[in-house]
Amino acid sequence: MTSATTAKKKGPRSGGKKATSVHGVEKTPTGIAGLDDILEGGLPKGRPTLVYGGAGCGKTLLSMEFLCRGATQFDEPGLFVSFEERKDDLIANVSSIGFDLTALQSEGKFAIDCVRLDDANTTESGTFNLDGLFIRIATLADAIGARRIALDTLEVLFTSIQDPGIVRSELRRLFEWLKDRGLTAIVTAEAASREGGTRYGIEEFVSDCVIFLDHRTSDERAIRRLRVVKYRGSWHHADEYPFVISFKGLNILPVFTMRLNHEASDERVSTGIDRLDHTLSGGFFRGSSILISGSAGTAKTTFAFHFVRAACERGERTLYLSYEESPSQLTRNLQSVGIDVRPWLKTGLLRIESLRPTQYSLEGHLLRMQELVDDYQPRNVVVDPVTSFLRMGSMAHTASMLFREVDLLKSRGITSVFTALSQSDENEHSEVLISSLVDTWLLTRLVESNGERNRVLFIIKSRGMAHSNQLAEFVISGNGIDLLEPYIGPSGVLTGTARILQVESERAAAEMRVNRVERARERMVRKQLDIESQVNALWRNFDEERAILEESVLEGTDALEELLRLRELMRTSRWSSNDGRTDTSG
Amino acid sequence: MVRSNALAQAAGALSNASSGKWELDLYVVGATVMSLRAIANLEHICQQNLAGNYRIEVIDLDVHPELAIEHNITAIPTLVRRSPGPSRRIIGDLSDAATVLLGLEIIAV
Repeated sequence: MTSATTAKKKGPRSGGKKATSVHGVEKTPTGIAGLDDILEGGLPKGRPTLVYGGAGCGKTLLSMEFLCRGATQFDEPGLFVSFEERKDDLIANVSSIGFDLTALQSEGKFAIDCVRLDDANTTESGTFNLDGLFIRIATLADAIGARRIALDTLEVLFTSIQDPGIVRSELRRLFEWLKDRGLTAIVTAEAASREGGTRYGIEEFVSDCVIFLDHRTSDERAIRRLRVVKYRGSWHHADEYPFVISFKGLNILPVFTMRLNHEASDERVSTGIDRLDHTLSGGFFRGSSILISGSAGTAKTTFAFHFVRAACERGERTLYLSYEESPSQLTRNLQSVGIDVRPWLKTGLLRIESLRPTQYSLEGHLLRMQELVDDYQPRNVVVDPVTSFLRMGSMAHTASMLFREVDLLKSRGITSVFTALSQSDENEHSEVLISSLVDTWLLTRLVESNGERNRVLFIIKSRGMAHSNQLAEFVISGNGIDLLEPYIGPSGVLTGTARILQVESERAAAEMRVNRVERARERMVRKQLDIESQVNALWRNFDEERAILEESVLEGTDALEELLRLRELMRTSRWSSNDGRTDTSG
Repeated sequence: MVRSNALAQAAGALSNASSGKWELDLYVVGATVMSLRAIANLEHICQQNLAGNYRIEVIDLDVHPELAIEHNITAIPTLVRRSPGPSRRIIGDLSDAATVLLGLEIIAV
């Protein structure tokens, strides 16, 4: 691992690890994974923040984690004032995200007070204030030297006290008091409705920062979302961010490359196949993302492992996430194509993680990937196949998660290979979904002709590099994948046949070549699926023309010689005309 | 119970029976107008309705803030009926005698 990579890896996240002052607002880091990135540093220091949402949205856990991380990571003791839950329940809940409240309490870093509003046995007679509550908060806050406080859920006061005028004036006094003391506070509230504000209008008192948590069900799957509704005096990310609650607490999944500031590397890494490296003018770009798609049995995994082999031979850590095969299955199958991964597995240079797609939610998978990447620090990651996720959520949901996966790896400068299974040749939604996210797209395909099934490879796109757009046949042997010398594609043969049939002059042939190149250019700017269906159509043409050609071959050797001469001419000119061309279709 | 001076004076004037059936705790914060009004109101109600059969304890949370947590006091003033029977609470300056009598179950609902 070079120091450059380390720096790049930490780069996009470093802002969240310290209290930063953006646009003059001083901030208190929450320490909650991903939240400080979205908040550009943390919550407003010494000010109250409103966190609201429906029942079970995670607001209690968020405020608890804010306090616990404050106590353990930032040396800021915290006071939790609960209006709803019992102390024992809270302690049990928080232990599920890995914090020991009892220990923190005995260390003097944490205090908890459960305010019970015993409505049934309480009568109101005359005026009153909430000095009792103030005294409790002040006493406990002073005892531990609290810097942070959470009030969960303060608006219970509205239901237990008849006179809302008293509650409002007392809340106003409470928030003034919190600000005077410089306590960074989280105040929670119930949402009135999904898009509306809080039930009792607490936002009237908390104007600095407002966070909305949403817990909804879509396609029978629970989805959690966090949105920063408001952040006075600070720029913030206003999008909805998915989050998960795991044994490590909340994890908000931001887009890591929010400012697209990851450095594009000029370094090339080998694809593991010499001739493919050559075709891609040296290989994949370091830190780029690559999609290998194709129908079943088109050697996508084998392609991916050629890349893995090359990476391991360079001594780079590589993480392989397999969603279909177990490590032992992969190891065995790869031996049949001459790739022995066992030594790298033994030395730890290669790590294969087999995961069941149904094991986690989409967010869970992303989180798991993040954990593995953090833990293992690979320079290369393979996801095989990424299409496993496709039926796990709605299209938009899946797209958002895939985007985050690609983004996570890219933000760390990791070169990533995704394989994708094409369901049918005509309908390749899944590939389209993924392909727009990747830099390089290779398509493998079985082509039937002359009673054989041959495998061919297309380079559909490759951002920022010159590449041949010609298809190439490849074979798999005990030595792995080998690309054959590029042979003349269907249109080439077509031209050659036309030439034979019409016996045109050299000049006319040259004109046709120019036309053909222009047609190819036009095709390149069309949609990628169009290209594929065209190729299919061309293949059918090819078969027809081949039949015609074979007839004409029988007619005489003169004609055959002419064909061969032209074919050679086509090949040289085709490849030279592709030199230095850059694909802009991506 | 330790009390602040002004409160001690107000509370000292209460005509506590030594072995009252009714045990009432009144939580206040400092000798505010509201505190003193609550004490006066309570004394008046008790004299009228529980003659000689009650004991009032005035607790100043300014002096004993930890008791606010221990006894779960939020609103000030809070009157707590410790005896007889299950605990009953009344919050406010006790200016409405009728609700106090109902709340303490001195008279039946």
